[in-house]
Amino acid sequence: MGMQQAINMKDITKRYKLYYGMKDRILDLVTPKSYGDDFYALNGVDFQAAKGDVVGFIGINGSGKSTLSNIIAGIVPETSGHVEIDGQTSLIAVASGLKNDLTGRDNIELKCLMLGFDKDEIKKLEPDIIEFAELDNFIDQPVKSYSSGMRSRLGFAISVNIDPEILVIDEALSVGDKAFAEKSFNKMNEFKNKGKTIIFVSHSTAQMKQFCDKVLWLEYGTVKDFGDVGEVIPKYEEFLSIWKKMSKKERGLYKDKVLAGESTDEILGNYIEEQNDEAESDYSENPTSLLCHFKGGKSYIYSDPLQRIEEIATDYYKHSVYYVKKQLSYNDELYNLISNEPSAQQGVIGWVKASDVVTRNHVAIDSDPKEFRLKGTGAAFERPWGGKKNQIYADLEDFEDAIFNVDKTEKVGGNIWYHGILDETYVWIHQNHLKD
Amino acid sequence: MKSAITVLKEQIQYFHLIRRLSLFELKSNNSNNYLGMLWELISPAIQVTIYWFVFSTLRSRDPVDVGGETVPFFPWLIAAFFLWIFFHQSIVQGSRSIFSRLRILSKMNFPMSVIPNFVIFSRFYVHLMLLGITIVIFQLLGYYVNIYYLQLFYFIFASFCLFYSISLITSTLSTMIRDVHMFLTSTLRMMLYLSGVLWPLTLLSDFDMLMKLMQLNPVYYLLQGYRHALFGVDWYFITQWEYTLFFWAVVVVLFLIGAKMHVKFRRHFIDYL
Repeated sequence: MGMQQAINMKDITKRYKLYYGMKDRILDLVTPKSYGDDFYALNGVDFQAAKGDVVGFIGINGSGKSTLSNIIAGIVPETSGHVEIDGQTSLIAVASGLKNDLTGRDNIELKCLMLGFDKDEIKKLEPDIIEFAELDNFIDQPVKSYSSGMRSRLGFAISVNIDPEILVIDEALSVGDKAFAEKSFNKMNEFKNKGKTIIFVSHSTAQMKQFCDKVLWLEYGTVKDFGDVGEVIPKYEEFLSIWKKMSKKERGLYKDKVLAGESTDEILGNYIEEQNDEAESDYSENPTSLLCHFKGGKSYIYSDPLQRIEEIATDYYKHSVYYVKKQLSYNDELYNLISNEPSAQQGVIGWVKASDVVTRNHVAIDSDPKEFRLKGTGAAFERPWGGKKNQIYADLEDFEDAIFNVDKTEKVGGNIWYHGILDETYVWIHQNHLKD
Repeated sequence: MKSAITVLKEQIQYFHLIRRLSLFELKSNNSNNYLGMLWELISPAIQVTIYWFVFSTLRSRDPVDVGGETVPFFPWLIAAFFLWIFFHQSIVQGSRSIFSRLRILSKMNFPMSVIPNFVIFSRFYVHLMLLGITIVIFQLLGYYVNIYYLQLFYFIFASFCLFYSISLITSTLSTMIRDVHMFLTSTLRMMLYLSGVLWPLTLLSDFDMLMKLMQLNPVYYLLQGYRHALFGVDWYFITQWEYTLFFWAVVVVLFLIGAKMHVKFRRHFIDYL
């Protein structure tokens, strides 16, 4: 074979210890006997990649794809097996290794230094990184003042501009806004055209199809399939559609069978038939009119709730109110279509689980002109029932007794909100902060 | 032995990195304060003032004998107090240096053995400033610059070697068992009173055994060296050559143990997070 191997891994295992309490942990450390339970994140994985291969790692949560990519990147040591990596690897994981108290520029130098660059090389790299990160004059501000988008842009820009031979990209392309994601994607393609070896870890089969040549499908720490994208991805998608319908118990059963090395055709087979019988019978879409806020805790926005593949974390979307004009229910789960405008077509962001948000009914009352005076309390918002991010005036104290000309009245839950002009700006104010 | 050479090589090869990283370390520690770096000087100054107040006014201390010369308590205290601060900060921060940075640093191909070193180095800059201040105070008190100051270079280097060797061990241990760090911080508080920083160990001359035992503390060797240099008494490391040999034997043993442990476990640090 004329092709040069970039990555050669044989019979890799990664064992983690699960301890029950402090006693196990200490005994395991000081005595030669083994305490606690073993958990194998990887169990006998073989994997080869030639120079210039672009390989995607897929699998459901807990399949070991992140562990495997971390071993390739040299972050986590394998427990046993043989690893041969030819070339410098770089892990592109977002927002890692930034020091909050230092400025963006200092962080660039710091990170490059730690990656082994000398002063002159860093000077050469710096302008490219700053330009790619689109930080402009924020570059000399401390990183703690950055928005999460800016932070991930900087982290990403540093990682991609250092030009390693093997890149490991762990879920990194789903950050930032669309424009930046596209730019990152182009950069990745540039690497691909340069003939770099790339490992791409993602939940998104769409991105895989666009980007990878080969796909490694992992399942509970073993290789389920390895082959060309066109071959493996359809199989994986088919599996996913069944997996989503399985109950918790059936998933457990499936896992046991896989771990025991038994055939799983029976379990999966049941579903294929069922699927044909009751095709999409539990799917319905309905118009509605609600407003919603995200609850605390982790939640996601889905571009397609049926597949639930493309997910965006909602941290950036919290503390703001959204319009919901459409709902859908699927497999007994209710989803809301959130939007920046009171419309199901314009300003749409995506689907969210109804259990991840707090909702109120949203009803228009009238569009009669009314006149109020401000009490000087509360805040004014760009949307009714607004959150912190919707504030136009955070404090109405300066407007005490100012006249507020109302042109629209709406009801949110049990409260009335008025829309009108304050200081030449359209705002929404809650009834409690107005007087006649 | 092999691991000791590996660690030493890494220190030399990455020396420029250690210098840069230690500066960033200082900068990021102080960026939140309006007075910034000044706090590195203010807080030790406050500490020494308190001890001075307590020990020379409330519980007045007799002048102390340093190598045959009798000096008042206050100059005796500050001659070595800032070295104690250097020791304390280096050991506390050195011990947590690896586990607190592991998440960031493990994502890069970066020799972990320089981590405790650059943390100590950042403390070293502060120590140099404090030492400068001490020397200025000494001029005002009438203890002038003398030839014996030259041995300060030796003692600074010796301090560095001792602190780094200890940090290699503690940073490895506390990464695996976090309690080690807690244990260390509480013990150090006690050490302040047992290392001859605040009172001369010669006060114990009635209990000969106990005094000898406490003098085996290698930190005591450094503190005494500083005092002998600043008061211009003698070439301490030559006049006390047995003590010098003992000190270096301790440093070498600590370093060999530390390097061995560090190299053995560093690949697995990430598993202990």
